[in-house]
Amino acid sequence: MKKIDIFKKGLFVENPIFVLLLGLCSSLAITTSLTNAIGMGIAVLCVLIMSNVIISLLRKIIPNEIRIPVFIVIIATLVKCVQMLMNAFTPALYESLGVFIPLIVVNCIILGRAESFASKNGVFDSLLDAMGMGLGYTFAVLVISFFRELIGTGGLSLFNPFDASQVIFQFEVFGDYAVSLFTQPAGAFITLGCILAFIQFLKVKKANKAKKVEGK
Amino acid sequence: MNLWAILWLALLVAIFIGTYILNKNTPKPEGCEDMSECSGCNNFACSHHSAHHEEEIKDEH
Amino acid sequence: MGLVSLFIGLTFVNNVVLSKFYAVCPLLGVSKKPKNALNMGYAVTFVIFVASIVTYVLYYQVLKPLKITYLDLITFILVIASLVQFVEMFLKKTSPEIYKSMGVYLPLITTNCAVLGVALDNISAGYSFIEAAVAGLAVPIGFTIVIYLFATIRERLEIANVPESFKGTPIALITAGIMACALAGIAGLV
Repeated sequence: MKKIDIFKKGLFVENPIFVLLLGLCSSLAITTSLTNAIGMGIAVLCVLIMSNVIISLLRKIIPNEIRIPVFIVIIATLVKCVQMLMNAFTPALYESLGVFIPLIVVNCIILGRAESFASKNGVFDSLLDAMGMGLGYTFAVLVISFFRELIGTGGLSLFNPFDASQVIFQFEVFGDYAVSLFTQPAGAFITLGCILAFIQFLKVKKANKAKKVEGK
Repeated sequence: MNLWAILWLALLVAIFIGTYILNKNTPKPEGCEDMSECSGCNNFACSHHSAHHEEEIKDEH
Repeated sequence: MGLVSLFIGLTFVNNVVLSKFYAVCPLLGVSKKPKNALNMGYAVTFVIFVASIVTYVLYYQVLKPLKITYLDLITFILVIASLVQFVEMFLKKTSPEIYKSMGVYLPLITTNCAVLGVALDNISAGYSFIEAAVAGLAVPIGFTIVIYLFATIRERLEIANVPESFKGTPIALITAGIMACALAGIAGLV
């Protein structure tokens, strides 16, 4: 089932943030709340899908020497369109994500997937790869912002991106014991560090188990 | 459609592609194979990334 | 003086890496040896300073008069990329020593959030030309200081007794978090 593997790879095994360590700039900055995380994740997913599909469609036409410049132009155009759409339809989200929407252009994930996958594979495969990576990115920022918002403000909340006053859910778990450090930049680094340490812990455990089996 | 926009865009793209091709065709083999720092991040767009040198390594064999 | 407080503010308090998260990828990737970190800092300082001036001038002299400010993102990224290619080619031809020490980091700076981030921030904060130039100098100097300190700390961390799961990137991130705490402490200065 090669197609399913292409899709699943982006979710866990080659998760762009937790494994490949790409696109950290945006993921650390906007994970202050679940709403921001979902908004950014969907924006990155849209740009990734469109750029992968377009580059895969044009891969036979683009001369090999000037691949990277052409990719950058295509991605910049797409991001500008997404930015203008977000400014129009989701103004509150646009305000809170701020400069990190245009910074999707230099997000290593998009250029990396375009260069390493979309320029060499067919349209449907590139679409699956983009969906896998985009959903992996969204999942990763959701996890980071889950912890940051929960520990930082003592509760979770999710607002409708299109209409900021509409609350989808909002509840407080513990108000007085919130560690507001986690809503600040320092907390972002610490949260991501701990999550990566946990993943490394799982990897080390797996490697030790494999060694024991081989030893026997 | 604004004509100036298209002209400006074409100028920028031409300048970028021009400098990119000029840069690619000037080699400097002295410190070129400096791989020690260049497996630091997985930034695929960086021209020092090891995947770009795979073709050269394959040609040598 | 407004410019001095702007400089100190951008270098330390709103440090580009630890408070605005702009150059995190190179922070983790290129900070193993202090000397390399310093070289990367020089390269970044030069590129960001020139890029912030050029993008500022282009925005106000070309994009605004022609009413095509919606092309700002594409303009900035193409200008930055061309600038990096040009500088790299210039270094290759004129000075192999400088290229060997600093030039290898130049392609990395193209996709560095910091350059594009500074260019966009100069516009959205409505700086004057002098303020944009000062910002273009203060931001990369702050980045250089942080990445150099980070490299020296990481050197010691390599031989320290770190738990297995934290070795490498996780402990580096937590170190960055502690450094960010320290900087947040002087937030009231400016």
